[in-house]
Amino acid sequence: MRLDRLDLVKYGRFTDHVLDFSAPGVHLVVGPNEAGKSTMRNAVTDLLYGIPARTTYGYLHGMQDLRIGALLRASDGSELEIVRLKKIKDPLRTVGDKVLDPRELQSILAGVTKDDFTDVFAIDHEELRAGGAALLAGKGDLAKALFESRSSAQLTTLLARLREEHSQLYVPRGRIPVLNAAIGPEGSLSQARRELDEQILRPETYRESERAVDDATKQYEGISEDLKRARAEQSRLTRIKQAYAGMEQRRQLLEERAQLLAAGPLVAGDVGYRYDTLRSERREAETILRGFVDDVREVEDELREHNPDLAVLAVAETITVLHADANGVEKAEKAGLKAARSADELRGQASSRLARLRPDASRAPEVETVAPTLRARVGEMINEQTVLATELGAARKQVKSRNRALDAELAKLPADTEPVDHAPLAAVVKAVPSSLSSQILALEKQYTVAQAKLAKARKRYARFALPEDVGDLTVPGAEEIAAYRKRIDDTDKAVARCGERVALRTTELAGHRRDLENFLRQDPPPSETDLAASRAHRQELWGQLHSGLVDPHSASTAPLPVSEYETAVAASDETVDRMRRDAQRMAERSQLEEAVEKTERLLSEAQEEHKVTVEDRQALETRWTELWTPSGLPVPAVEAATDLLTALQTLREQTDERDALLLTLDSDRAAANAHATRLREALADAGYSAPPEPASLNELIEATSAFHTTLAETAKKRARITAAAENLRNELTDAQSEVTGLETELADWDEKWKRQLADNQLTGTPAQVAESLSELDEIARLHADALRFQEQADEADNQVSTFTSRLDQALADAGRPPLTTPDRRYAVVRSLKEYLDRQSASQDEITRLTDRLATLRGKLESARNNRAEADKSVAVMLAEGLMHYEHELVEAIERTDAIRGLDKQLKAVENSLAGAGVGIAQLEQEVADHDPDELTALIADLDARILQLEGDLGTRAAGLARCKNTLEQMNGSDAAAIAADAVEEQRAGIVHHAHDYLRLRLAEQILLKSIETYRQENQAPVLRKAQHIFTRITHGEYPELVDDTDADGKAVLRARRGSGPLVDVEDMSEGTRDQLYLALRLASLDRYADEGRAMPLLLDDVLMTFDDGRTGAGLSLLDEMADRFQVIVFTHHEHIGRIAQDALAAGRIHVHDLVPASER
Amino acid sequence: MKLLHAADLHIDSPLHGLEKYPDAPVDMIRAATRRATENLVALTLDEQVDAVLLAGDVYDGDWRGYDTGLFFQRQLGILGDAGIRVYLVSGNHDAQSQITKNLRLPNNVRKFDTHQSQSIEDPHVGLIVHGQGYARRDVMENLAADYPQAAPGMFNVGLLHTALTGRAGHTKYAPCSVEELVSRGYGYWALGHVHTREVVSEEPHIVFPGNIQGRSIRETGPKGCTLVTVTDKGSVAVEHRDLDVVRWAHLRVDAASADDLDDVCELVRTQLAAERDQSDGRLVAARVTVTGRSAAHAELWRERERLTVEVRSIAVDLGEVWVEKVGPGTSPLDVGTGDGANDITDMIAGLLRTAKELGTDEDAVRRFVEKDPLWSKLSGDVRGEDRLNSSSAEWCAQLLSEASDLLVSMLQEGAR
Repeated sequence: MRLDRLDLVKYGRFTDHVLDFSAPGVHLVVGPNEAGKSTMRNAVTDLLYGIPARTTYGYLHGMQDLRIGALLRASDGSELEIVRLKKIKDPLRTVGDKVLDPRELQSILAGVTKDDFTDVFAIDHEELRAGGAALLAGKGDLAKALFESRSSAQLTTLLARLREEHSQLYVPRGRIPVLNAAIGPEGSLSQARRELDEQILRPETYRESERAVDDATKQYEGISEDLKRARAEQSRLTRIKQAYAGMEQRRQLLEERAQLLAAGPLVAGDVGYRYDTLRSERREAETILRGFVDDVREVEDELREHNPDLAVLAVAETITVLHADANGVEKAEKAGLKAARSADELRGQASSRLARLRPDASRAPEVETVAPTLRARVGEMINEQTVLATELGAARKQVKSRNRALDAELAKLPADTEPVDHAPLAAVVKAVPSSLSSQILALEKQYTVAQAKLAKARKRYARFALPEDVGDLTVPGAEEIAAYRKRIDDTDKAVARCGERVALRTTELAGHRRDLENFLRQDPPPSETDLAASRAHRQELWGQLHSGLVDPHSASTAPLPVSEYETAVAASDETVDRMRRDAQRMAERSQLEEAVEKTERLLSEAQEEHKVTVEDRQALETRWTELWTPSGLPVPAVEAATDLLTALQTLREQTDERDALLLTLDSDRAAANAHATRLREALADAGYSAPPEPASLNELIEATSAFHTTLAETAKKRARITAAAENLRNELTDAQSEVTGLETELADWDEKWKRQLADNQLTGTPAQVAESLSELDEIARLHADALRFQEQADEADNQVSTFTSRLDQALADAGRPPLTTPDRRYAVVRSLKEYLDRQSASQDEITRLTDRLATLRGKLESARNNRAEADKSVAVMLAEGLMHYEHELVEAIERTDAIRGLDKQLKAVENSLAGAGVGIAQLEQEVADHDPDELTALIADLDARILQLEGDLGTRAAGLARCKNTLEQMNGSDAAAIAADAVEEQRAGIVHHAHDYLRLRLAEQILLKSIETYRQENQAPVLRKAQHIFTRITHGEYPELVDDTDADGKAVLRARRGSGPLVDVEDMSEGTRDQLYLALRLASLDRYADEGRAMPLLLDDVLMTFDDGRTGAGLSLLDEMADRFQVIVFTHHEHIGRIAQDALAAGRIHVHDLVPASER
Repeated sequence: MKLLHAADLHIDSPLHGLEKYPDAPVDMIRAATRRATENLVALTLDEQVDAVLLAGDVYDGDWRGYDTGLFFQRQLGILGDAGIRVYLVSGNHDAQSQITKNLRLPNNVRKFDTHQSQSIEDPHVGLIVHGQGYARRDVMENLAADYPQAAPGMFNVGLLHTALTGRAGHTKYAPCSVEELVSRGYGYWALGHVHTREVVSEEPHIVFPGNIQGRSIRETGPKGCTLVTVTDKGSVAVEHRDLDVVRWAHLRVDAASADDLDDVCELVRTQLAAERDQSDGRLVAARVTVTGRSAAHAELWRERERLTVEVRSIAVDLGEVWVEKVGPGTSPLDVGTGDGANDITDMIAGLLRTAKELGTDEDAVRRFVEKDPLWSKLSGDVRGEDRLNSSSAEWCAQLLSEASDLLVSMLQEGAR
């Protein structure tokens, strides 16, 4: 947009002032201070964006009359002429005072906001510098344009957070943070390590303990050995001492023994015993001998008393056999008699039964058995008849049963005559989508979740008191809020800045006033005012004096103030004189007064400015409230507004989500209702009452399905019964046919029976025929049994006869009387047997006595032999001992026994001596070697030595026990393992925190690099452009600008001087710094032009610190830009106009002079 | 015949990474490897095995506490009292250990030569064991090559500490191939060195029983030994038996359904409780990583310290659970759509690009970490494997990834 013409109709100090900016090139508006340059710059802003409610430019024309006009040219060349009034309603007008649609102006502004315009396009020197300072501080508009997008600000904030977090974990040379505290020499890890070190048992320590035990054991064993030896010696000497008495006793016994040996011969070791034994045996043999002679005699007497019947004994075997058979023959005889009686009886029974069966029979009672074929045939026919009759009965029953079953099955048929068609029901159920209900359930669940989520969000955002329906709320946009927030921030800063300035000026003023007062207190020189006052007083007195001198007759009677006048003249002269004398102090006073005055003015300006900014701030608050009024929401705090928007966005999204679910749910529910209606209709058509409302779709489907199932089952049942009845009818027909067939077969059988009777001359019913055949068989059986009994009777008779003959023969052989009565045969046999037994017993006794006699005679002989043997042995003994008589043997035996007694005593004594543990010979030698008195002294010495050794041994034993105890304490304890676990726990804590720390540090590193990269990628074009401009302005003194990062990751700008070092901005001269700021500012404009949003560039005294050369270069650059941006430069330096005309081509510089107000 | 095969006891090696915190069940992890060794002895007695096969690494190489040896000696003594023989080869850790050089073992222990293969026979049970121990820590020769062919009429067992042709995370000591082992004609190969149980072959059985107690989050799941049953006909059946007293578990909790940290804590509680219930009364040492695309992502990162505290508090509530580490590993649902979303997206993209660039220089993260003032102040045992392992490319990449996640989440959080 360009401003071809500006009409300051009524604005500030201007009235109907017109400026034509339509020519190409640079427009230079030149005017001294207070000429209205800033007013003009603000007028353009107010023209384009509206005159603020509390403007300071209404002091001349009145607020309601303010009016600015302009001819604007859009980037496409179209023109728009507008007039801006200070009105709330319709402030934009045409030249003809018609209301102008603000959108026309908006379109020409191409979205450049008021803030953008005032911050970027309409700037003065102060703003240029403030931007520079902000740039140094890394903040502010210019910095934003160059370095600080919103994004990089976030990155910087993030960086600060990361640093705060990792500094809580570790800082170099710190003590408090977690890791500093943990890893130091007194930290928990070192502490745990020390504890572990204390608990560790080293192998060498263990080996040392083992060695100590070995050494102590050796020492102990050495002393123990010495002690053992001492004790052994003591024991030996004591033994010798104790052996004296025993050795004396032994000597006496040996003497006694020698005397006995000298008294006569001895016998061999067992001779005494053998001699005693022989004497006993000899006495015993004589006693036995006498006993056996008596016994032989007694047995021989008994033998003579026995004389048995030898004839009977000769037939003993026959008698024994007969006796054995007698019982059996007697029993057979009785059985034979019984069988003969039975045969008679059976024959009688057979005769009488045959007579009953065949009264006319004349034959003997032997009856043959009936022919088996006849009996079998008759039996078969009878069976056939039975089977046929049974089957006929069963078939008849079957007919009755099928009849009954058919009736019963027919009775089961349902009463209705017209079956209901169930197919439509199935169709209507099938038409319901299977997933519909579950879908509705799922949707309901999702809806509940969405509702809960929404409620949760509502709860979370309850602090904003948002209404239920947030969809239609008209709230400011995020950009608007951000812009507004920025304005608030800027205004707050401006208020603060102005406040600071007011405070500064107030302080300055107080200081100046204090200086002045101090000055005045010390006899101050007169001031021009004093002189003027003095002169005025003199003049007044002169007036009075002059009128009295000119007209002495005047009416005044008052005396002439001559002396006062003279005093006044003197005073004036004195004042003048003093002023001349105290010129220096006068100047000082004047300076002080000027300073007070100037500071008062500046204070007033600052106060005014402060007031305006405060009002702006209040206005912003009002605007803020207005911004939110359409929404009806409580006005949020500015800083909470973004959160509120987020809340609204969240709630809207969640509400939309919920509503979308509800919509789908409603649709599905409607579909479900439609299906429910169709189901109800189908049920009604089928004659079934549907479940009452509000039955669910599933219930209806279930009811319909159930009813459909019922109908289908009924139809199936009917079909099943009909089929069953048909089967039953078929079965009935079959049963009836079977009855007929059986009846025919039975008739055939009757015929065959009759033929059978005739063929076999039988009569009667089948049962009677069968009975007759059985009776004949029974009679034949009775005959056969009678024959068998008769054979048994005959056999018994034969046995009795044989037995009797054998008995007769035996009686004859034994010389016994013959059998007189056959009936006594069995008694005779038994009597004969008893006689035989008695004779046999007598014979057996004789045999026994004979054997005994032989035995006794053998023993008698043996006893005699024994006695002879004993006598022979005694004789041998005597011969062996070279003795003649038995008494000599007895004496030798007694001597031998005495010596044996002495030997026993000797043995006991020697055993006692052997208790000392050495042989008798050695003992004899030892006793012989030692003197008893010397022995006692030696033993006493040894006792003392043993006592000492025992003491040493105790000490060594205690030492050994200590060593062993130490070793045993090294018992595989887990104390070190537990301490190692504790170390590991501490170490894990350090690893955990160190890992966190390193993660944060690495994140910081990534972030630093990202910030750098981000800047390089995003700001490089602006910097390049700025570098180009700066180089041009500085005539190549600074060929390079470097977008650098300081140690804190903050953006800094540095310039390279020539090919030398980089220069920080704060190290540049004031002018160079201003040039740099301008270069940066101009460079940042390109993006507006690129976006078609170029606006007039209003630069107010920004070149004031430039030297002429750089001013020319700057203007030349501005001229180059002027085709893209309209350039209007305000300055109070007239020489700039000249420089411009020198630097720029003719027609490219247009100077507009502003006449100061005082000259207007 | 029954044999019990175990390896890698690493007695008195502490459990790594368990940071102490208030109310943590400290006593339950103390000397865990000892308790597991005692469990081994108890199982041996219960099962009345004929022999125990220990395939190396009884001790931790750099552990100097002689008490450990005495403890082991005592446990072997209990087996000796029960008349059970123990066949033992030394592993790389044992070769390094001072304890091995000094300890006298009971008579029931048959320790194999370290300079040549040796065969030890037990005619009473018909067993012959072939083995060779490590003379030094880094045995890179093929020890199995020197093992003899199977002795006829006996059950032949090969006892060897090896990584075969290589196993992830284990140095390739005493390398050899499965075919080579099979060619010896033994009935069973009892291997050690690899801490994860593996039945390498079933014809014949070649088995790594794993270690008896997991010692860090890299050793999760049940740990124990292998019970080998040999029938009279020579067929072999193997069965794993648990011995561990602390069980490591890495829980990955999907936070997709969580809206905030509280929801996440509930999900964690459920999974921790389930893990505890499955551990058969043992203490569970759990690492909890919260994963998935979640609405709680930014809060988890922002409140990661609180997350740790909350999860540990849950563990204390549940009992028998020690939380080793809690880490957010979530990703955001999506980048914000509100005001400034494009800026945020650009910035995130920029951050990720920078992180990626940093990641392309494999050494950059290591250099950065080692240049940090903290690094030189940290003692050597805090650095290294399973800890702050700057020399591991994987660890550096993980740190870089976490740093990126942290930044992204902080940016997103800041944008809200």
